[in-house]
Amino acid sequence: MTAVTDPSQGGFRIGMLLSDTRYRGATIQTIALIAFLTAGYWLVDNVISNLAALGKDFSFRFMTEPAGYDINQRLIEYTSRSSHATAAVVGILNTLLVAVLGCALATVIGVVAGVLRLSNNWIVAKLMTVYVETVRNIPVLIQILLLAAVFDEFLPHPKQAGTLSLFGLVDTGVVATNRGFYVPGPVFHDGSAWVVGALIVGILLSIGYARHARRVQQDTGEILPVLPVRLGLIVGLPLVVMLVLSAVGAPPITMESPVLKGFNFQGGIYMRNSLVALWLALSIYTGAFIAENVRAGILSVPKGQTEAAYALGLRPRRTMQLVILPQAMRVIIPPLISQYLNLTKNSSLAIAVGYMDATGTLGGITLNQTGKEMETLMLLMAFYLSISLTISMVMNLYNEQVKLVERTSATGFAPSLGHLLNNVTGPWRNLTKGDAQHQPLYGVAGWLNLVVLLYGAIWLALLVYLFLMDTPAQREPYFLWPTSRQIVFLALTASTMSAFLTIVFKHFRAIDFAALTLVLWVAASLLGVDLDGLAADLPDGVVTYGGFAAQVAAIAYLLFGKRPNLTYLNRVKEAG
Amino acid sequence: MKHSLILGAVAAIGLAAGAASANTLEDVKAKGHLQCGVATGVPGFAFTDADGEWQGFDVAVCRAVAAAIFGDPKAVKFTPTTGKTRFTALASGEVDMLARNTTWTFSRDTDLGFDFVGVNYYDGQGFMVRKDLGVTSAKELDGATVCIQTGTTTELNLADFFRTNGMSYEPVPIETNAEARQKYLAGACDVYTTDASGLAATRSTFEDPKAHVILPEIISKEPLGPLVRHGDNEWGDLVRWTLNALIIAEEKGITAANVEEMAKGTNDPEVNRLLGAEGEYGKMIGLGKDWAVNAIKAGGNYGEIFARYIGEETPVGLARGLNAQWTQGGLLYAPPFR
Repeated sequence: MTAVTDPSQGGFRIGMLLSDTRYRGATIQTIALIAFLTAGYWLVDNVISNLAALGKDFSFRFMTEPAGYDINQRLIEYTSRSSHATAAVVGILNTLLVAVLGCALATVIGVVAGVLRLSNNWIVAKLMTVYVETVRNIPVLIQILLLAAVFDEFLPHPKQAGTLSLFGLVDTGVVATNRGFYVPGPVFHDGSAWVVGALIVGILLSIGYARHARRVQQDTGEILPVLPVRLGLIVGLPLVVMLVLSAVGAPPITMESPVLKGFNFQGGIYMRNSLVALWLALSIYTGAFIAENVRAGILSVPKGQTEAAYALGLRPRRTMQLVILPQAMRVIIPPLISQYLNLTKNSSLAIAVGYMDATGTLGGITLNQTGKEMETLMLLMAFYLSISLTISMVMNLYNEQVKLVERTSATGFAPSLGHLLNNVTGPWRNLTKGDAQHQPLYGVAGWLNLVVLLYGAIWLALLVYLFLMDTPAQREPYFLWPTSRQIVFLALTASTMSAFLTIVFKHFRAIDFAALTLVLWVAASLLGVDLDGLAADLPDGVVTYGGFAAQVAAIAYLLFGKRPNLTYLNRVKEAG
Repeated sequence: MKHSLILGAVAAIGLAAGAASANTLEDVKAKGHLQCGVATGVPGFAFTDADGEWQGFDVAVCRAVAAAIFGDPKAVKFTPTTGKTRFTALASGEVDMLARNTTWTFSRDTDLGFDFVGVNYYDGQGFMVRKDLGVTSAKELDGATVCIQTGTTTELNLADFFRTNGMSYEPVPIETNAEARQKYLAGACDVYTTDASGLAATRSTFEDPKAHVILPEIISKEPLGPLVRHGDNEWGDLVRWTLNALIIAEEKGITAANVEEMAKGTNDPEVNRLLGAEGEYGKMIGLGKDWAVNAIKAGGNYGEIFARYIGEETPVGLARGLNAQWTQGGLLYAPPFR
């Protein structure tokens, strides 16, 4: 006891840095930090001096030079005279295309296989077991190559290929060749805007009807038919408009079938074998993993829940929909994130079948033609890192929405601007703690949507400005800007994206990113970034000052405005 | 990973000591073998025979260099490289030289930091199609699907050719010659384009080579030659003059069979200088007196190598054409040996 209460004798000695437990931790951490920084410095220095020894400089100027090569699948305009940067964007879009298609199909396959594996039908359950165990234990590269080889060798040459028919009865108009699949595609004529307009109106009406049905059910308990009505509104309305227009004059939308012209089929939608092989192989492979996640999620819900739902008189479909799945989702989502990430990263195997993704253009041909290994690979890593982090963030935010929120659970103790502002912002605490003040705030949701649109628009404009405006005549290419301007523009783009995505999910951290974006916006305009160039048609100053004002308004709203309590809306049934 | 860290450390120490560029010849001698980058497999140019030994027109250059250094054409290890990996392999020091149908261009010579030491095959880019397509000219290929090896100059020539002629095409990018062969034969592409020599070599391996035709248009100059890293001029000289020695040997009628005999001395002073009977020329490139004798003994002179691997008697069946000696109306013209 005396040892503890004794006042410390003498002052601070240097030896105490190691011997005294009060300082030891800090000492070791400081040493570790210095060692880490030294190692980092040494690595960077080594790279620079070795590059210098090879006679290579480190610069990204090559990105603005003409690429010189052609790319078969391009979602934006691109010729061999376009810049390497545009080629990289073409590749990035191809990566995103196959990733989105793959994630969607893998989810469908995974959910179906996962549910069927739990089926009471012995054969179906065993078949799914065989699928899961076979597919996920074979490397995905081999599956991609196998599919590509099957398409190459077994599908007919365009000269021999005809349209596929369904059981010899219905002509589908689809042509499968050893180069790819040709699907009849729509051709839009005059008046097609009416049909598209009808579709949008149909979607809006169906959303309104769904809300109405929900309210009716909560008020009276009566269940209105939702699915048929919504389907009728979304599909039926445009169909009626189209039939009316066709009856009056020429049909506004026609289907164009692929026709053999010269060496290949022309017309319709062309899906190359490389895309289809990659897409299917990635989906089948990842689907097997997702199936196991889904099965685990469903099994994690105790059987008693099902029995209780049955006892209340719920039918099996509604039991699954209302009782089992909402609880299973909490188990399924986190591993699903990593499956989506895996699929996206595995898409870099595309080069094996000649699919021109980001690895094929930026990390392949551009690297090879320019010899800039360091630069291209760093850009490529930055791209995959940011795309993975974005997927991960979106899915984590979604997880935040579906996970079980308890009265006492906080979102974490990480020091953040959001936490500092909590005292000021009051109502945000409801969102973080899930403790609902029982007052639904429908009205202001519209204002929050405006904030979402604001940041979405800024983000899109920044991206278009950065990548797609391939017009050196109008402005200086990005890579020729001063470094400070380059960095602040990139940071602005990143923080706008973060603000946009966090607001989409109504997360309280949106204030952090909105404030950061505002600061970067000011910094960018001070450093001479041509912010007005984001919308070149508008008069000078409108974008710079208007954007500033809009952001200030958005932040003020986020700070002081009343906002919908989504946790409350999602969790607690309306009290009436 | 560990290995590369050690390499990195060694490189850093080397840099710190102020030795900016290593002496490749010393390194090769210390290793006891030459490390040579070749193609992954092009019939006639670089392939492995039934015993698993690398053979071919490009491989023979590596063997000649190894023989010049060590007196043993087998003192060489081969690294198969694709169109994509070859430059990184050479720049990183993974291989000492590259003898792999690589086109000599301005930016490769300067910006990429390599030195082309000469040309061992004058080539040009051509197109191969099936005969039954009825195509007789490359100008009729509008809308065709074209198989193309990525990371090559042919890829850029192809884009320029179709653009300047106002035609469209569908490129199918592939990695290796073998893959291209498989795609082309399966009909997944109408046209295969690469250097004309490569086309002939690939066609020779088809079941029915006569069903395929190489179109008359040659759309580019493709001087193919061995290359080394920029900065070590002594090493570049050695490889350059080994290649020249093979060319001079053909011009002077020195063959693998008679080289020993001629090395004892002839009436021709240039032959004497080359074969070490006169002067100390080997010393000037850091090798022994008999370096050229060994190089020529390894696979014969340029003409012998050509005839053995890709000449008209072989399945590849290429005529000498541009690759004849200057005295025969070709472009092969080695500087005088003195």
